[in-house]
Amino acid sequence: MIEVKNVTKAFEDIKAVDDVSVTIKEGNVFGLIGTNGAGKSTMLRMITGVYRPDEGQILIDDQPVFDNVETKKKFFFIADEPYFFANANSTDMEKYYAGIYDTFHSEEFYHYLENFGLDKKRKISTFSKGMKKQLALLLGLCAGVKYLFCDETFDGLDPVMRQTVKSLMAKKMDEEGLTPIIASHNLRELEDICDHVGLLHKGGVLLSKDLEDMKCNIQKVQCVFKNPSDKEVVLNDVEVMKEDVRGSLHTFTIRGTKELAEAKFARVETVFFETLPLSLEEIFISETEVVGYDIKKLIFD
Amino acid sequence: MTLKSSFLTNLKENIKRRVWPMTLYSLLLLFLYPVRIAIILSNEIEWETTKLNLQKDVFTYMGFDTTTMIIVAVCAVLSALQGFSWLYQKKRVDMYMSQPVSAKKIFATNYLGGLFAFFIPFIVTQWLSIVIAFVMGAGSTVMQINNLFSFLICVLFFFVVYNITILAMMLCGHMSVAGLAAGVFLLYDFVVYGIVAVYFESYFRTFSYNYTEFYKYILSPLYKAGEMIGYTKNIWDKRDFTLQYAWETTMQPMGKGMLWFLVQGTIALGIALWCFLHRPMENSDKAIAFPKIKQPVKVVMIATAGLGMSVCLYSFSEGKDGFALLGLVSGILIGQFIMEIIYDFDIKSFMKGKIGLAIGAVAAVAVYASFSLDLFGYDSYIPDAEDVESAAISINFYTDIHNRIIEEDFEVTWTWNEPIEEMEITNVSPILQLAQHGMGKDDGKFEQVDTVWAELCYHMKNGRDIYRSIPIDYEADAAILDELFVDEQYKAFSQLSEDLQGFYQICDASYSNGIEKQKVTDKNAAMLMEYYRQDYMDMTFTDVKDTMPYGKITLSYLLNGYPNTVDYPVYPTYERTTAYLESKGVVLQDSIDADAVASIEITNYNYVDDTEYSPEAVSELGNGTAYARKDGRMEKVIYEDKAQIEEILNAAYSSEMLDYRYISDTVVHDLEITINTSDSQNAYIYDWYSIYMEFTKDSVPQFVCEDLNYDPETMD
Repeated sequence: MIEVKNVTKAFEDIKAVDDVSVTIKEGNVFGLIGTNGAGKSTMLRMITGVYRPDEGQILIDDQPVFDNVETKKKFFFIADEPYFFANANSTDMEKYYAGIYDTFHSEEFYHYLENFGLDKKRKISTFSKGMKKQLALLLGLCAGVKYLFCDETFDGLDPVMRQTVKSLMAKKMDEEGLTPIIASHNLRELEDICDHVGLLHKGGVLLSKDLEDMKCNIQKVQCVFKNPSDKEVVLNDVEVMKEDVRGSLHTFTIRGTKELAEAKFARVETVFFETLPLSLEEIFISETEVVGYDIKKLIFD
Repeated sequence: MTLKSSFLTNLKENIKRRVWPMTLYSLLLLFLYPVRIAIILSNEIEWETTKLNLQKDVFTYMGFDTTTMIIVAVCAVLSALQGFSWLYQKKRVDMYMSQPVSAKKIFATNYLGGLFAFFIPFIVTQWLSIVIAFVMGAGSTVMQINNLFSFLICVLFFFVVYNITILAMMLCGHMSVAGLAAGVFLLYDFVVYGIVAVYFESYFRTFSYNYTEFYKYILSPLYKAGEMIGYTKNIWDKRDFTLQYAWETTMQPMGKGMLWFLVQGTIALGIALWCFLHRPMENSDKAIAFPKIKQPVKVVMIATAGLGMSVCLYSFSEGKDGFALLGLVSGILIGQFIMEIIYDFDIKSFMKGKIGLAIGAVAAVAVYASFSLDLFGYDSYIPDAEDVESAAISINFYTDIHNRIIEEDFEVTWTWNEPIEEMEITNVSPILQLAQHGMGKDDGKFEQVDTVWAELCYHMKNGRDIYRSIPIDYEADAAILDELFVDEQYKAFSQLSEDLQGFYQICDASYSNGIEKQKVTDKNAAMLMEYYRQDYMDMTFTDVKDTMPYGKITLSYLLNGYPNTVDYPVYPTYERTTAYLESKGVVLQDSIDADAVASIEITNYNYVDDTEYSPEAVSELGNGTAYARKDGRMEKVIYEDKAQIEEILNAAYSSEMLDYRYISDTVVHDLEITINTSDSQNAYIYDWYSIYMEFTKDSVPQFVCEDLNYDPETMD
């Protein structure tokens, strides 16, 4: 388990992470999502021991991370721009990481390398961006670690590769108990794979929930009121995150379960009523709009 | 795989990535050592040099010299910059710092990688050179031991420069800034030394420049290395090339420097490691990795820039305070601009950090004011007698005895520091009285009188040595100087107090009265010099103040097959010496017989401005430059009248003897005397071409002054 307790990190006058507390359980795929500049990369770097938090504590399996070799053996960090030695090829990198991680599976690595169509003798500097990410992922997946931190790793992969990687991750989770922690803007991709999501905004945590719970507790309701004044009755005790009106059709994003939403709206007569599940992207937009990160404001202001 | 093997894996990987610097070092060292040695030895063998000289060649060229120092320093800086440059790239920091390798191990692998990258080629090329030396017949045990010693010095010098550069890397976040920081660490002392020395010299009249101890405070390893190069003396004069000689003259003096390298390098390494362990890795693209040191560093740089610029403009303007202040202000502002631009890499940020600017400006102004206003009373400082253990004084007078040293091997050297550092006069009263008269601000009083300058040193009871330089009105203070000159402790520090019996035994002694040179003894000048020493011990200042010596004793000897001489003036009060000389049939004083002279030419150069160029003077003299009178012409008169010739000969003195009038302001250099002989016989007898004569201010005949329109009172 990874525990982030009241962690703060500032860069000169800017607080990149402000009093954040998050728990990442084993066995789940944790998606770290957030607006631009929310602090995702900073958070990942603190969890992986690259940066030292100004305040707070980060524990992996109850052990501190910073400059702790035993703890660091439990994870592999794939940065948004992975680094490879100049003039090195895949074999060189495998040898290097095999020398650092006792649990590195070299045979498996070469097997996947071949399957992915990456030449083990070819210089990595001649790889495309996507190929480099593939290589980084393979190195991470074959390191035999318990936690795999990926910072926007899926970006740059083609759809087939993404699916392949997701499958590999799932396999590793099954066979070796791997816990991936993935930071990304690509919410559609994360939705398929994540079990738990942490949403960061301006250095703080907006929410940290199971994805299913999150989806269960936010509903999109479309309805047409028979009597327009009934709207006030219904919304009186409902937490409305967002409202959109087109003609007589109202679309509400409200907090609460589907059953609760249906019960609230059943109090009035409606011409049309339907509850729809929200995608992760819609949830993200709704949650951030609440705190003022409104796309309409960005475009029209 | 064990932790140890992961360390070796990392180290191997680190060394693999240093291929290009290792190649560069290998090429440099290959040409510095084995190739250079082979070329030199092959040339020497062609010239049929002795084996001893071949060994000396190897000793010299494989020793720690300037070329080696520069190459080792450059390699150390490059190794450090290349080895830790990963700290300045975020993606490399991500990789290294997230790996399960401790920070200390990361530091160690990068550190050791840099050492190996240099020392592998260094050891190989050193070994090759030794092999070449042996093959070419220059090998010896002494040479090998010396090479081992030089190798050790190179190791330690590399160690300290390498560690200092790594420290610079740790403090900074950008390669160019780190390079600048390394340069500052290695060279800042020199800049400060230069500024402080010029400030002292410019603003303090009594600053003793010859005996300054500022150099002792220069910590830079480059300075220490330069000192150590100085110890590698030229050994070509030595006949025996033994281990003992090499140890005493070269290795032992360098031991202190080596220890200094070790201590300084270790301290730098310790601080660098601490910085690495506490370095905020998020600052990998910032100019300075530790934000808290930005403003203190800026304060120091601003103050240095302000004081440096002030001193430059003060010097260029030849001492104008207005320009010094202009330099101070502009230097402060320039320092501010440069530092803030370096910090932010943005020209628009030049006025940030105003508090640091204010503090730096105040510091610079405070230092400037303390010099220009002499706030600490430097020029008026005279210690209390009870605080002084002993004192030393070196007067620019009778320097042949006080500042000339005859070494153990009979080589003659001159020293200006040793009298001041080693003399210990416990009766400090005369020295303090001289200081009373000579210290203080320049009120112009010494421009009206004849002065001689003296360097003082107070050896204080608290262990400090305090140096000053003062003018002495030698007429007004003659009595004090007399008291000083009869002090045995003053005269104890002279060449004559040394046991030079062995030296005197090998010397031939002769005597010159300015006209004729006469032999005194063949070898064995000991007795003559003993009389001379006794006369010298009785001598007072007044005895020789502006006295013409009768003549001079010359001791001649061979040094390594070459003739050498040492001279000693004989003053009228040297009764024992003159009695001895007369007993040897020596004519103490002589003059030129007027009958032997056909004519005397006296030329008035009348130096007005020694940079003035006179076409008329050039056409007259036929050479490229000429000194001219105000009206552009020189004056020359030829005297053929015997009475006038005789008067001139009686008034003129041998220039050779006038050199021993240490108060030399009274010698007239403007008038050149050329004596033309009546026949070749007399020319031979008097050896005209070696006799040069001059007047003193008081001796110029009146008719000469009138004929040449010369006024001795107006001479410089």
